[in-house]
Amino acid sequence: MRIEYLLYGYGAVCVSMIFFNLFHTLALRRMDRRIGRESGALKRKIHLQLAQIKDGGQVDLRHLKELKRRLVRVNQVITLERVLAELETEATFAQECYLNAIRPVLDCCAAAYRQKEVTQAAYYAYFLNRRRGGTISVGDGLMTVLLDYLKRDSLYCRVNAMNVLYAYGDAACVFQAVCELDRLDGFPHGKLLTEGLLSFQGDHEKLIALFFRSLGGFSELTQVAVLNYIRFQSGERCAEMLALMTDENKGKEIRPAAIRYFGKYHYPPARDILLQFLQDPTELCWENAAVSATSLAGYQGEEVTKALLNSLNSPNWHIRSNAASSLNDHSLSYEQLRHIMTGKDRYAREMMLYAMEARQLQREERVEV
Amino acid sequence: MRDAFQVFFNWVNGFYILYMIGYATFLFLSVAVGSAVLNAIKRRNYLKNELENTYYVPVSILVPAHNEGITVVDTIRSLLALDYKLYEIIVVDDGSTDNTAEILRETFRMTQVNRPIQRRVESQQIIAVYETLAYKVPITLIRKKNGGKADALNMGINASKYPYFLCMDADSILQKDSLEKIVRPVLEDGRVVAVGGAVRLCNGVEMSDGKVVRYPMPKSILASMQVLEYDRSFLASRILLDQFNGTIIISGAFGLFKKSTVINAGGYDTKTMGEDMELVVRLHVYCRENKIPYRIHYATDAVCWTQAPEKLTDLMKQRRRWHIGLFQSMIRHRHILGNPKYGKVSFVSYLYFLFYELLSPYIEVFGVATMVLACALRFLNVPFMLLFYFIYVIYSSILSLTAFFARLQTVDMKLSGKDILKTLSLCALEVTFFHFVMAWIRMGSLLNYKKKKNTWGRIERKKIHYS
Repeated sequence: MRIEYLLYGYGAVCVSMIFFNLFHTLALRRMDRRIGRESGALKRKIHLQLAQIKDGGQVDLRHLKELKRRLVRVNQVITLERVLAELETEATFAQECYLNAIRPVLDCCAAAYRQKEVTQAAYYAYFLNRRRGGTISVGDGLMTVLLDYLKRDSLYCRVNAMNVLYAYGDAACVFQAVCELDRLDGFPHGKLLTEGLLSFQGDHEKLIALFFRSLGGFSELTQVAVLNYIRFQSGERCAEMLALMTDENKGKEIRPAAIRYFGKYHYPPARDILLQFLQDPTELCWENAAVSATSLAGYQGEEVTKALLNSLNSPNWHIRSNAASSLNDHSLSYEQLRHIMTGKDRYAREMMLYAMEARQLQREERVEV
Repeated sequence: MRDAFQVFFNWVNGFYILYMIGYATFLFLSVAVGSAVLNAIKRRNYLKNELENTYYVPVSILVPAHNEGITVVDTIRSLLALDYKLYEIIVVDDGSTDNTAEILRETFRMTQVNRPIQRRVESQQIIAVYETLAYKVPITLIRKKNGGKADALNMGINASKYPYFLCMDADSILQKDSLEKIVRPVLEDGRVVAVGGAVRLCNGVEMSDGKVVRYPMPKSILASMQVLEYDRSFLASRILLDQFNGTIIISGAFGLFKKSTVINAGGYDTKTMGEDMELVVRLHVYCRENKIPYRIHYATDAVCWTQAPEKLTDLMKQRRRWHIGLFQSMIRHRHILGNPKYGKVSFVSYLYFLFYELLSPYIEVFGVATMVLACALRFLNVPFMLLFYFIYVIYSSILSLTAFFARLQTVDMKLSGKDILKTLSLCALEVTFFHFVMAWIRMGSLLNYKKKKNTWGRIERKKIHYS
């Protein structure tokens, strides 16, 4: 075989790639222009419908049929999204009526996008979140469709579908979706679930109650993400958190998540348990002890101060550091700190000194860059 | 005697045919896969298949600095302008003899503190620690005894508070969205232990508030040729290697790492010049040896801007250092070669870097010497050689152009007609001239290796156009 033919072949493919890139760019520009033109046409049609509504009429069935036919193509969904975004600036009663009228069409198309390429399904979920409006409940057709979106093998499709559910604010639907995601090992990072749940627009207490009812059934990653969500959202769950914190059968990550809760919300019955964690001499439990050292910052009392002072001599760096930081919040006198500052444990002294310096820095005024 | 030469040339001929087929195939696949992936990403983003900017994984940004007084303030300003909430900045002044520490302390009004730092990985002794909480995020300056870049990074790891750290150079600038983009793979895949970003050359580029305002080709021809070279390297081969978790190099100028995994693997190796590559290879080894599911990812849209040397002497120093670093990393992890335990990392990535990076200058120079010998002995078919060389130049130029324009197109950057013409003419010059100069420099880098292995060589810095 002559080597130059192989190179000719490769070169030809590379030239085609350059042309492909050029054509692709031109095609995208053309598509943008086309979407612009179509937006104009669609906008005129929608304005006609709005005028009809203002005159006491209804949205034409023919218009709805046309929308249904158009929206099976993702470019048309992008066009509609642009038009609705423009109209959004002047929200009127007529527009609300129009959106209510097209909602069944949007739901119908949502079902069609289940079968489409996953990036398109993800876009449709994004579109629904922004434009559908209305409500949703367990058992609705759209809920079934969104559950199917969650089953697609794409993080974005899942995140966008969940965003729809968070926006509708139905606790039961969100709970059902989280169960489904957990079953599918849906989210690779707990932060996605925690932040998503925090954006939930409905009754958080109702959602939290649902989670507590079946928390043990979730994977550890989901449980921690849910507990973090509860910590940021509600201070009303101290009793449940206390039960989790004291349950020795709970996973390694779950107990520290519960301990953190009592750092944010002070709950006197938790104090003694936090002290127990802090004073636990076993090496295996150092994470619980370190988190407890931080959580105890908000709990006053001689016993707490003494335990934190003792923890400054802990062989574990994290425990010492957190204890020093918490002691700072207790506003101790020099007399109380004297045995640390003049003692033989240099590590404890340095840690305490730095905690005090850091506090001093925090007091300084923030300046803009 | 002539028969013996004939046999020799036949063998050489066979070897080079195989070598060139391998190289052409790899480059071809790189550019083809690179272009396809970039277009797929563009379409994905167009259809809103992206995570909104509301998820913040806490990140410590480590900036090792050695005599970087000219650029370090702009670097820190670019970091303060990042569109991200949860991060800290740690500058490690690695025994600078210029005013790096003073200028930082004065500009950012830093206070000396007695901060205890846990030594989890090896690093030199601390001289002083300064902090300020007066800005959007905490800034820490650690002055330490000189120990090299790896040592400074290890100190940064020791001082960092957050579970992920980002390493960068003190003469580099991050785009406003770079941190968000480089963190995204961590959110998308729980197994990710390291993410490499795209490094681009900022010579001639103007930036304002973390965004590129003007992007002309650099005035210097040497820098322009490096732009083409970087595009081919970052946009093509790295995307290909990323497809099968085969990335074995993340540039020290811009990489995100999971701190616990790096600490468990031993941190940066202070005895190598290529600490960035060595760490990534070690992460592969560590995770595979310990059966930890892992992924080392390349984020094409996370961009860091760095300076290209504009003087040939500076470029020589830089490439010499890179080549010695490559040599050290590959020698240290030679057990990977041909070891099925490492899968494609062994049979594709390591082999590629061995034959087409480490040994390529020697192979290329040997090829040229053989050609001269063949010509002298009248074994060479000169018209065929010229045709072959012409094909090589066209092919390589097309590959460079494909990578260059694929990048421009996918990130919506615009070049003037003058710059496009400059690019077209330079790409041929790059493959005919620049490539061989680089081969020659790299070949010489291992001479006197023992004497030079720990010397860095100073590269002239210029102020970056950042406002």
